Amino acid sequence: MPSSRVLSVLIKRGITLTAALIIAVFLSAILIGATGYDEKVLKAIVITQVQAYKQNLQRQNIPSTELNKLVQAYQQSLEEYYGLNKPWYYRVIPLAVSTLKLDLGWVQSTQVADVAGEQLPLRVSEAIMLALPRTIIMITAAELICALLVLRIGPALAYRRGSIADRAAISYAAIMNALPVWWIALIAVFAFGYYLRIAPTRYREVIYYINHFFEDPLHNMLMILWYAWLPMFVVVISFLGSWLYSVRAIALRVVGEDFVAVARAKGLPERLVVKKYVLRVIAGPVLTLVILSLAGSIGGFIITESIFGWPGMGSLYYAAIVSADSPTILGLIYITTAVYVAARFVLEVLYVLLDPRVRY
Amino acid sequence: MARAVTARRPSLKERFRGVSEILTEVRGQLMGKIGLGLIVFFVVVSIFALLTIPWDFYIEWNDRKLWEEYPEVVPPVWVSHFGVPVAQHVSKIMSEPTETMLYKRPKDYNGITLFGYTTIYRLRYRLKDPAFPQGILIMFEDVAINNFTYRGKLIRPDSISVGVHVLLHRPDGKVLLINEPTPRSLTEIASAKTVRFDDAYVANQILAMYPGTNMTKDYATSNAVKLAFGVYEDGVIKPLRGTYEVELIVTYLARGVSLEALKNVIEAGEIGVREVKMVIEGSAYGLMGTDSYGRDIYRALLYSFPVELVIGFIAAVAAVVIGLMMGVISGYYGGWVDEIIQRVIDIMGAIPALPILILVGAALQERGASPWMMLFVIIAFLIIFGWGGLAIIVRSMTLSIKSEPYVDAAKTLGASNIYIIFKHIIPQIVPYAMASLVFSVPAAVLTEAGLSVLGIRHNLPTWGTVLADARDYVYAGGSYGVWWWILPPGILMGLMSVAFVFLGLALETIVEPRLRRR
Repeated sequence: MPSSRVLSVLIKRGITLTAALIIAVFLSAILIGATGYDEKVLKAIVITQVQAYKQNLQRQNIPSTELNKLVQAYQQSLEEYYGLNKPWYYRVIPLAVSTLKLDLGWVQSTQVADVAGEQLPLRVSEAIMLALPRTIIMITAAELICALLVLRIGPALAYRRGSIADRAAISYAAIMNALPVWWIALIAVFAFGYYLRIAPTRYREVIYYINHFFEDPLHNMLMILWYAWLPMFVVVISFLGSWLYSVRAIALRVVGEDFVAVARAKGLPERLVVKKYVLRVIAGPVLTLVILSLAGSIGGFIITESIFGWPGMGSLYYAAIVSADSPTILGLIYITTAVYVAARFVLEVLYVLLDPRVRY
Repeated sequence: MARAVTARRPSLKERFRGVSEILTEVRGQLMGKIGLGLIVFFVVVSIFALLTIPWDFYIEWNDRKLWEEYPEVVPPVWVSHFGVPVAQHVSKIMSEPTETMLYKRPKDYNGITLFGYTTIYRLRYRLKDPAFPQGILIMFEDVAINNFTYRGKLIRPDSISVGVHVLLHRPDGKVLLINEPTPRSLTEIASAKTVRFDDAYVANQILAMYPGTNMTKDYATSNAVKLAFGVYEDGVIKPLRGTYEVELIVTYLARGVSLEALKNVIEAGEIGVREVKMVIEGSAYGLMGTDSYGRDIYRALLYSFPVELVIGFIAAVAAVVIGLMMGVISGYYGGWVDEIIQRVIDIMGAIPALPILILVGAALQERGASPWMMLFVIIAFLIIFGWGGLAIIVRSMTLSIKSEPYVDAAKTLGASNIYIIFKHIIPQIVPYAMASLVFSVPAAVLTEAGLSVLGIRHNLPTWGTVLADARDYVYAGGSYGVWWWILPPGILMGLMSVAFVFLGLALETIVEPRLRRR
């Protein structure tokens, strides 16, 4: 039973993490507003709507003086509606507050709707729910593959510290750490997509196969694999390095412990030692790593997804940011930060519940 | 008394003895050796770049007009060593005509009519390999447009009629006129500045060269340059090797002015073309080829060396220094100071830094911020979000050092907190901070490059921007075979990161066991 001290620590953690969430949303809101960046998309919206209204009036043969007056009034009402006639904080602060209340509002730019594969009007929550599975089947899945691979290889490397395999793995990790994943992605698209033609060069079409998945699951599954194999391959290749390095480092501490030495001295086979003595002990920190990576991957990789044109969360982020679509930006920041923060809090609680040694 | 104290105080060198020891050990490791070697290479090239390229090169880089005379999207010249046929790039500035003539009555010359005072500039061009040059460009570098008096009359430059003909003499004896010769005034020539290869005009002459073939006007127009430097056989154009000559003929006429008088003022340099540049755009250029605006990629890559090192170092050093100080303060003083710093780190760790950085970059770009401003903000952001991780580790190290008996002893003897921090704590943490510093240099560089690739441009030519341009070119439907444009910036970026990562790994293996032993 957790003591009251543990509880108070958990509460403090909870407050800090919630504060992080609120600060992230407000910080983004203020950055969008104070730089005047949000006016970009709003003014464009007003102009198109006024244009449409004017054309509509012209068709009704209204005299030009009256028409101009009407158009002007309409424009003013629109500017008032979007808060363009007021200082920026009247626009973004209420938006941030309603975002925090999970009322994410409406997508403002067609570019964002495009990534989602839909037309305006579109709710921000809908756009996110459309993009999220695409990121999960690609990036989150790739991270999961990394985690599974590394659980097999990492401890064995630590076990054979200093061997050729171990040193090769470290060099590999160093090189992969040095090459940004998006550069490998760029080269991969050129090599496999354009040159060898064994992978697609445009990835947007994956939307169709995901949206119509249940009409013909087997065929659509294969099509999705055709689109996803290269991005996943790139992410795995690139991230396996740092995964290997971290898990190896975690395992190294355990491999040096006396009880492992005793197990080895007893003549237990290596596989058994790794499985029963090493893996069990490192399960905690590795689980932390896995959960935080998976939670972090929900936000997608902005640069890598944009290289592939993969219509996931990263591309949604990017489209929202370049088109200054503040409801979508804030919604994305809120959702991705919330998932990450929740994961951290869950881990915090798990530590206390599962590991009897954790006492604050 | 004061003297005795100074004598006991260890020198700076002694205090950070660990640092120089570590450097010696790094050199003993293969990874350390490679890392150090690469870093030395990057520093040396950076110094070379600073000495040879002006610091405001980015203005030149972004001025598309300045790169007009260079061939577009061509590989580096050294590909010829690998058996790739290359048409040489030739550019020659001529301040004196090769020949001058005085035609008092119209004279026919290779199908064109020359009349008046005539200056001729000739450029020989040898096409050795079976490859096509990209074009011919004539630039009037210096045209004098002064007034002059003739027999008491004031003659203005816009009343001087100038004929410009550019002939291409082919090795097979055929001659092409590559520009449409419309007489213009001297002022017009001075403001137009360039004479371009006129595809449609040349196409007509080409069609006349191949009667009886099914060549269409469209085909001849879109392949005009190739046809000018080649022969058309069975539907394919083959390069015609041999010696070509480009002949620029400029004729001057002025109503009511005798040709001798005109000749005199032109030869004296008072009016007329004083300097021309004749360019035959090759099929390869420079050490690293060119991009889609004809810009010399080599220069951009070179300019990037010091820029990247500065970005990496400023961001890394500042983040590490802040992280070190914050960690020590947090661990040493404890209490509410510790609480605040730790909570700030917690919060920063949960905020998605990259999206917010991209947002700031995009907003700044929208406002038209200067390149240096953009760079400054990017670096500041990297620093703000970069110090937390180190501070946590430094804090726990400080906590363990703080409880050592010698720190208690120092305290009992009346040492101040500042003294203990700088004498006992920081020197022990510095080696670890160095490893961390080395690791954060490439992170900053890669983030900066990533932003460029996303289209958040600071407009300085860096490896990231060159790579981003290449990507845009290919995605817009350009050829994907532009390896000289895509690979070098990525490889340089990777090499720089590898250098620092290797050095960091070497440092870590040295630093870690030591920390454990202490």
